[in-house]
Amino acid sequence: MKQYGFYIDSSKCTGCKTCQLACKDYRDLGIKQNYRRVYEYEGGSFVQDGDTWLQKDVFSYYLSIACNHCSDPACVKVCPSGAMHKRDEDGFVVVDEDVCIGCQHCSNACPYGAPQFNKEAGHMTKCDGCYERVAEGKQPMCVESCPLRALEFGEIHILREKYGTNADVAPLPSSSLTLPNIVIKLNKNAKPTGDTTGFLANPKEV
Amino acid sequence: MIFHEWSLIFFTVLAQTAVGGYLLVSSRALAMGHSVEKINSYKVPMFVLWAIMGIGFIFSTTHLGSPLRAFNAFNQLGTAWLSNEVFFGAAFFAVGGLQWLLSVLKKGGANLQKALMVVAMVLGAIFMYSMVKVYMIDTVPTWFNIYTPISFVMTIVVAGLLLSQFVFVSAKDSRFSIDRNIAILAIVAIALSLLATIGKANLIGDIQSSVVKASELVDGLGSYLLIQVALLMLGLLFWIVPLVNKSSVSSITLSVALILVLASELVGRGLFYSLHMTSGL
Amino acid sequence: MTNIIEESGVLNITRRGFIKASSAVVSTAALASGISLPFRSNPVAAAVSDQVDEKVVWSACTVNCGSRCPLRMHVQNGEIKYVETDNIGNDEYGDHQIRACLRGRSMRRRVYNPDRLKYPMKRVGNRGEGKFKRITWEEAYDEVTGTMQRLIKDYGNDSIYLNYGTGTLGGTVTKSWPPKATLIARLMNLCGGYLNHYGDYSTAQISAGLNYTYGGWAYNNSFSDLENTKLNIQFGNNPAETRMSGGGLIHHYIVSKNRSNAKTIIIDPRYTDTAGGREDQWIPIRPSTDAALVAGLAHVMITEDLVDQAFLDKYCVGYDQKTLPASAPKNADYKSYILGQGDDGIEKTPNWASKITGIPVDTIIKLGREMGTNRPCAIHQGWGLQRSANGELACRAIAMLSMLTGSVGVSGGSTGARESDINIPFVRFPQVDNPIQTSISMFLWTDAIHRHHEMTDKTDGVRGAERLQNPIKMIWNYAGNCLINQHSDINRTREILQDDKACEMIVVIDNHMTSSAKYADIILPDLTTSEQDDWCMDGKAANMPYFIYAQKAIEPQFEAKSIYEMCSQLAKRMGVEQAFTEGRTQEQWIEHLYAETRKQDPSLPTFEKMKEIGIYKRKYDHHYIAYEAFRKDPDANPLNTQSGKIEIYSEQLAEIAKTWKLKEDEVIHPLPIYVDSFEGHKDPLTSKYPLQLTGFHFKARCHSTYGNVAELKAAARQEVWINPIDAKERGIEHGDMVSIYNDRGEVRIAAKVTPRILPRVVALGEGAWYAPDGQKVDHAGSINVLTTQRPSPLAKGNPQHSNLVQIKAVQKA
Repeated sequence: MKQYGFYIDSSKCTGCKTCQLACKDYRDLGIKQNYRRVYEYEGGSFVQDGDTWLQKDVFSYYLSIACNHCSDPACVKVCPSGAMHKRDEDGFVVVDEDVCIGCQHCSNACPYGAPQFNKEAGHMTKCDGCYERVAEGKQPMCVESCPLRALEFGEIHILREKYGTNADVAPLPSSSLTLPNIVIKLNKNAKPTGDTTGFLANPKEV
Repeated sequence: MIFHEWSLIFFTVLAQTAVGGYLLVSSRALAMGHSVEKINSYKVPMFVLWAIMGIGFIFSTTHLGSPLRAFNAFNQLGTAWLSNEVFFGAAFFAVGGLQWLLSVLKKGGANLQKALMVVAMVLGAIFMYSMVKVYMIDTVPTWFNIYTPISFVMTIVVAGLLLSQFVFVSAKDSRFSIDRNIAILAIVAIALSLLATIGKANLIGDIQSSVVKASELVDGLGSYLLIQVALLMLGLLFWIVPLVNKSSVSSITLSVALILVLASELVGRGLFYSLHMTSGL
Repeated sequence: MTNIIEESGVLNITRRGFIKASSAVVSTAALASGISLPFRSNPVAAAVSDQVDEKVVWSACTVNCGSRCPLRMHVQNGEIKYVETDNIGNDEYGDHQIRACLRGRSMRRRVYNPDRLKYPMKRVGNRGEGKFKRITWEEAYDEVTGTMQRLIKDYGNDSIYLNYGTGTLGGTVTKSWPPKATLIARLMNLCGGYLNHYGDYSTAQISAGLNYTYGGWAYNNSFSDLENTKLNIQFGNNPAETRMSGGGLIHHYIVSKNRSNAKTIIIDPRYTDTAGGREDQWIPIRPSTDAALVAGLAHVMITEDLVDQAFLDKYCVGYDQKTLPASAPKNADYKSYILGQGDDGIEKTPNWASKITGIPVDTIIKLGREMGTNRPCAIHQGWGLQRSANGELACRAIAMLSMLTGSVGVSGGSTGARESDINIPFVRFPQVDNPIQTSISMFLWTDAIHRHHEMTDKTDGVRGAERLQNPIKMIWNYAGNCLINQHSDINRTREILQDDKACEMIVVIDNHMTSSAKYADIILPDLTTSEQDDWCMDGKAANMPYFIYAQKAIEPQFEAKSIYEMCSQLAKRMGVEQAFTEGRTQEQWIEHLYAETRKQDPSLPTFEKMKEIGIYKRKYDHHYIAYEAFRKDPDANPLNTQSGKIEIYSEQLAEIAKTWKLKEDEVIHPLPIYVDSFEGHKDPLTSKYPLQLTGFHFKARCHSTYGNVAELKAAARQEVWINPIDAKERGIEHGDMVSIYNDRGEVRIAAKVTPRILPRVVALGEGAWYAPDGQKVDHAGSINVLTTQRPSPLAKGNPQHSNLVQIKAVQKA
């Protein structure tokens, strides 16, 4: 079984959100739908010392996350209609929008915020890995859009051979929960999964 | 505001109440070897029970984004707990409802009705088990803990006890010793329920991801907990004070107690849904 | 189950796990009820593919971000359905794809924006009220030319002003700046000329300041040369947010820097996205104190004998007594200034610099040593720090570091200016000379409306004439939002513009109902780049320059017309049509300009080929090294300064300092010294307004362009950055609504409480679309409600990052 995945180079990502908007344009998504989202994680502090300010480990980094097309997808496991399913031919986790009943339980379960409810349509929507483009030999729209070349796409075993297997970094959950098909190159500032020294700085943008 | 998931709040609480009540009423009927006449005499108060269940189901469908496709919820029977929940809930409703219908129509003998009762009880139990499993998702730390089954079971027991007593009293099939025993059970259950609430509150204080602290998910969490407990105690008061005077229990005071206990459960369930978070984003 | 679905013809996707898994119970139930499961809302829609007329057209984004991006418009039935960018080739660095940023990818939402100007309109209410009536193009042309002819007759051509506007900076026919390069200027110059402006809102102070240091526009090595450096120091330079696209410089910056793995130090009050874990050290600095840091670093290098004395002796004027010009007083050299032997008698020790900059002493000492021992080093500055009240001095000071380290003119080195690029020469639209010589600073047009009689060369930097003869009576505002939104002190501007007896006629030519358009008397709706052909170029691209042939993707929307068409029609009424058009249509000009370009450079693809390939890139295997020839042979290749050398001490500035009339707290100085400036951290006004507010370029917009695209506004929310220390003192939490205010106005916006900004400093992305309520409070986060119209001393430029404000909590999130 083929399994595609994403490589996310957080050391290069500047949080520009081109991936997010390129996807939004291509998929014609509304304001609240973001199949790909860019999370801004930051922390640190300042201490005053006379006339000067000492900065204590001020950091920030971004993570561009769409759907990780997990090997053990939490969304699929809880879906009662079977609309949320994992495709045999490419490993993409896709919601059949014609079957979905809109119970939103998948979004309860997904720890990456991938399935999103479209209120007008009454069902869930999510990143489908641009499987139609991929079938034509093209890249997903977001990957091709990245001005920093911080995103790559391909069969996950190839990405893992090239870049290793890490898929853990704050604020993502432990990869053992859903076995996401992503490889993350850590930013110099990266904090481990479960870190609580930083905070999500852009909760309303994702 | 903790009631944004109002349809699920009502569905789960009402379903647990109805199933709890049914299990107790039917157990008694089976244990006491009720005659068919006796069973049939429960038809009016049992209507209340099925009405509660029915309203619960109506609430469940209002939760759906595409209610016209509600039947698709069965698709994953056997693999998704939500499908199991819907299926066994519907089956419980159908079989138990059939039994009630037979009692109304005075058709079928005691054995048939009792057989249906047993089936409905089994279905109801699986329904309740499924409902717990629906929320036992390992990516949701505020749900994936012992307090989810405990609190769901406590709702089944407390609200079920109250509803069953309401049925007995309304069917004029009660007496002081039964009322007292039920009330004693209720006091024990409520004490356990309070312990569970305290335990849960403690656990919430410890759950935290990189993105959120569970304790900060609900503004005024403490006040809601207080309201939940206060409503429960008030309900208990209406329930047991008549017993202290050894007077007979009236269906009116029981109704008031039931409403107060349900309100408490609804607040608790509202908190349950509002405390949803994942271990990630 | 599967069979049922296939028979009913609804299996339109592929085989499905869930179908196989569905239980027999459900199948039975479905069979029994005769309903096929799963229920589908629209069983056949997905299987049908409508026949559509689809084409992919090369277009471009031509806004003023510094990059120019090709956009490949996917057009179906005459409508842009989605936008792709350069996706040709294998994207190898050096011959890489020019990838558009989030804004370019949202172009469709700009073209089809509900704010689009649809028809020519004439003001009916009070000016600025935003009330217009629809008129015909004929009426519009007649109204404009009629009024203009009257004003020229009554006041003269110097009463007609072309306002700054860079909305189509990347175009060629549609180019909106510099004024002389625009079609409006061509039209006006055929009709007697116009009042010109110099400088720009982006670089006023650095253009003026470093002109005296390097002679003309100051260049620096291209970012691609970072692959050869030992030390990378970026002063307020933030390509991740100012040069975002793939053709732009952040990609060059990161790849080159990763190649050399040079130690990288970011000096900025904000922890920028350019830093973001790609830096070795972030040195947060108080705004407007860069020159003090430089003096402290110079002190370290001088006292520890780490300067490149040979370089300073050979290439520079005024470093020490040896090279000081004869006209200069004794001890007026830079070294004396640093060592406390100059006028002020203050030694510029790291301790002195630390108190001013807020940077710890040991950080300054270490940095000075690092620079002194890693020569040459790459030192670049962004344009933010020069956009301040003492910006002319600050930008010159930073250049000192490149001189002290002998970094100028060599690979791996720098000049201290902003990075430069290699360009492909291209023949532009021919210009007509302006008969009017008078020019004002682009920042002083509001003054030229209401106090022109006071404005002279010595007081207000009037150039080409001793004083202004006439007030501005008419403004052409083409593809610009500086009429309101992007000019400082919006409330003052509003007051000046509201008087329609002063400036009598404002013509706005634009795509959208901007806040500037609301102040128009006549609105002429312009085409977007998607609706016409043009050559697009001048993108900053290090050593891989390119140009784009943007072609018409869709028909003009509503009644909008091209700037070429408008100006041709106006020229006709002014009796200069033939001279204006030279008999060519826009398409013919485009072909003609390219033919002229190919005459100079026959290696370029043919016009027909360009149509097909859309973008032409040229790969260079060398980097742009600023002043390389000068460094090799300064006598044969002198700089364009008075002395031909790099002028640390400028005699010209000494002269200007003597003759110009300045306010007490304003300084023009022959040396790049540090001075406290108005609305800096030492200004007494800090007792009332204790926070320094600095603007920044925000990813949601390019200046104000794209500021009305809802999807971008949601993806990158307008917020004011405030440190948790300042927030806590004010009871502000992340996401709360706050009021930012000073004597000039008030803005309400959500707070981003973040340690990514120095305490006592707050920051607001510039360009948000001014949204006033009835009480003059802006609710969009438009920074220019808070900025001052007081110009900087030398450039008479916009000090839009020198603002003192206070912030208070308004509403909890």
